[in-house]
Amino acid sequence: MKLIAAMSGGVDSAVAAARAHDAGHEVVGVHLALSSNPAKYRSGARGCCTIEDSHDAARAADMIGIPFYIWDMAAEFHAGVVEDFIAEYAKGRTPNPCLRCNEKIKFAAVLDRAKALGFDGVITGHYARLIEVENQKVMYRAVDPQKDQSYVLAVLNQEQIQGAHFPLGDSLKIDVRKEAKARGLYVANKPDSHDICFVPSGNNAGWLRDKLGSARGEIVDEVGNVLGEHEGAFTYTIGQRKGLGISTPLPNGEPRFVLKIEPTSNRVVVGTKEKLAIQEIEGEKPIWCGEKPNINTTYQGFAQVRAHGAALPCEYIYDGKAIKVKLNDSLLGLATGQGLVIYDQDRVVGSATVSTTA
Amino acid sequence: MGLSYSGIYLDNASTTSVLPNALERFNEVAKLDGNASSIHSHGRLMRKIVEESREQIAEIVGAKATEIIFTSSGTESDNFAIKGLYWHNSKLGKKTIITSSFEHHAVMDPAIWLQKSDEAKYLQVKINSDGYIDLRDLANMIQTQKDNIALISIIMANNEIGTIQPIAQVCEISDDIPVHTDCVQALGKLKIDFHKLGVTAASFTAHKVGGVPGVAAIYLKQETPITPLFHGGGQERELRSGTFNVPGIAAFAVALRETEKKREQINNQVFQLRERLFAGIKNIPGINFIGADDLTGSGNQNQHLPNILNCTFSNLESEALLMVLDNENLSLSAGSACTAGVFRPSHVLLSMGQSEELASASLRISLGNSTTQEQIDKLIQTLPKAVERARAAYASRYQK
Ligand SMILES: Cc1ncc(COP(=O)(O)O)c(C=O)c1O
Repeated sequence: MKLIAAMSGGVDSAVAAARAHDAGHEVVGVHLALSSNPAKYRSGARGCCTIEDSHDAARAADMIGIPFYIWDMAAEFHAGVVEDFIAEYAKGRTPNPCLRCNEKIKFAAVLDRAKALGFDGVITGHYARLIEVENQKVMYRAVDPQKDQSYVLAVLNQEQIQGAHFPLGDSLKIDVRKEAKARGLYVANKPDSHDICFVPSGNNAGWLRDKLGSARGEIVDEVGNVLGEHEGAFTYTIGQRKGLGISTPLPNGEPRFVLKIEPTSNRVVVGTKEKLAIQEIEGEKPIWCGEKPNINTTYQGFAQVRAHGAALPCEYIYDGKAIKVKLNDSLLGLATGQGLVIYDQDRVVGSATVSTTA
Repeated sequence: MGLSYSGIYLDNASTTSVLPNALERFNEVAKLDGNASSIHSHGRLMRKIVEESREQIAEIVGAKATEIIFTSSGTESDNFAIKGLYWHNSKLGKKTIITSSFEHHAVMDPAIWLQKSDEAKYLQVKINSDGYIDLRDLANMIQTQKDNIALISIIMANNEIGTIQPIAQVCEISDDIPVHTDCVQALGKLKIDFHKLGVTAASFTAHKVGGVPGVAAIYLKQETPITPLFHGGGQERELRSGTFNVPGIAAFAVALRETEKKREQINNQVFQLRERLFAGIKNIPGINFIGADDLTGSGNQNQHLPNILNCTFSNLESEALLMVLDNENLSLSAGSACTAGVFRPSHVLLSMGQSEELASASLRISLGNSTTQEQIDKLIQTLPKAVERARAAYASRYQK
């Protein structure tokens, strides 16, 4: 097959490209330039958007022996990921931009361009398994539970999945590092990236204040007593405990947690831990990785609401518009805007964006 | 990765292949011991090689040997001219820099840098839609800025589109204002005579005429006051410091002599091939030739380098087109500069009034003395399909 390998400059995508090349595919490496001014995004060899990263990707491609190009996806990335990120925060939600990047950039804009240029699909260094069942690829969790990235890939629809290639899904991360070393890829020891790649130095709150302003507002308890002040409600996350700056503790000395963010009144509501507990989740704009479930039918499965969160046993129902989840056990603190991913054991069923919780 | 490739090279304006005789000379000289600045016999021999090379080069470009200073690159020569002339003249209160608006970045960026860091006033002369500077615009600038002008720099032949600028006329209307010209692309293609031309300074580089990269020169008219860029050993009469790259300089002289000897013949051969190319691709839908008036038929070779053909295509991006061509083993360039590997709309095409869209959709085909008819025919045969593919990529991006 003719495949585009999306190469971030990190160890995983380099090994993924090398494996596909070894398997006899015609592989062409591509680094995505996601900022119109690469020097402006975080420097230091950690993200996926810096000049050093593109240099690392180019070196890896040289060593593997494949052609390499840089594709300018800055406009798409800004429109599809950065703007969405800001808009979601402005609504008092906590988005996960990695999901959007996979949905709108890597397996949409890049996959589309690859196909237009005569390629069959896109290889990435993601940890997830694609198992072929009756000529259809079906997505499963990775073998390495620590690295499993199926959560951020659950935004791919069936067609996108058919064009995806994840050569690392069956491997453990430590083995991938060893392999990178054995292959002489000098990115072998490069640390994993964690922060949001377009936010410099991991200063999320500062970056958001810069974009959304820092209108002061009140921090209140559930009955409306003012307990403190904040500089922008959107810098808080539901379930957050630290950094609230409230001087009066609860009478029993227990800490307070963020329960709600109210963007219109610019208020942050805090309260006791128990109040964070939820058992019902509704997710909007569902995406199905495989067959759509039957409408208004109850299924047993697992819900995951954070990138490295636990799989929570649940029953779920699709009403034609939204996914409604009832957890077997309650969960503490879930921000709206997060990704809700449904699993059937290890199989990824689909995903939605958390819109309400109860 | 081994040291081999299988592609067809049509990017000779980026760099040319090293001429066999120049390479031989390089290897011969590289075996010798000695630093050209040393007083012993080893040093003297090296010095002799440098000075002979300097004299040979000077003669070809219509200069005295003492007016040629060796540098490390065309980029260094350009930086030296712009910064060096500015630094000297700004002390006399002359703080205006004038260049064309389609200079190479090695000229434009130092000027922009001086504007930011040194309070220079930077003005750019307009370019007309055919790719030539507007002499009236320049005359107006000279008129209004007069005694404040530190230097004027106009490229002799544009590296993206190949149009040749009227440097003699620029010198004429500039009176005694220092005029620098970047001759990097012109060298070896045009008969150059700096004395006749009347310029103050000129940059040129070895790797565009069959020498090795990393050696270049600047012509500095006798007694031109200028502030050096590099300080140190003072090897080049205190105007430039750094140990001489003797093998590179020796190879430069050989390459330039050989190129000069065959100049007419190669220009003709290259021009014929370009005509064949032009005829072979001119009917591709949506193609548009830049500076085309000078290209066809009787072809006014006097105003256009024979080796460069620049064209744009509707509904595609250079990024995708070059990738597809590379995939077909054809090595070409967009001509425009990249920032960290990302293509930018060509400032050259923009300066000529092309749209941002077409300035991002250019292809610069540049031929050399080793270009063959088979290679040109392969491009003629491949280009239409490549354009189609690149258009499909464009549609996937913009026409959802
Ligand atoms: C017009 C022009 N000026 C300057 C340069 C820079 O020369 P060098 O590559 O020797 O630094 C080039 C080469 O690309 C050029 O085409």
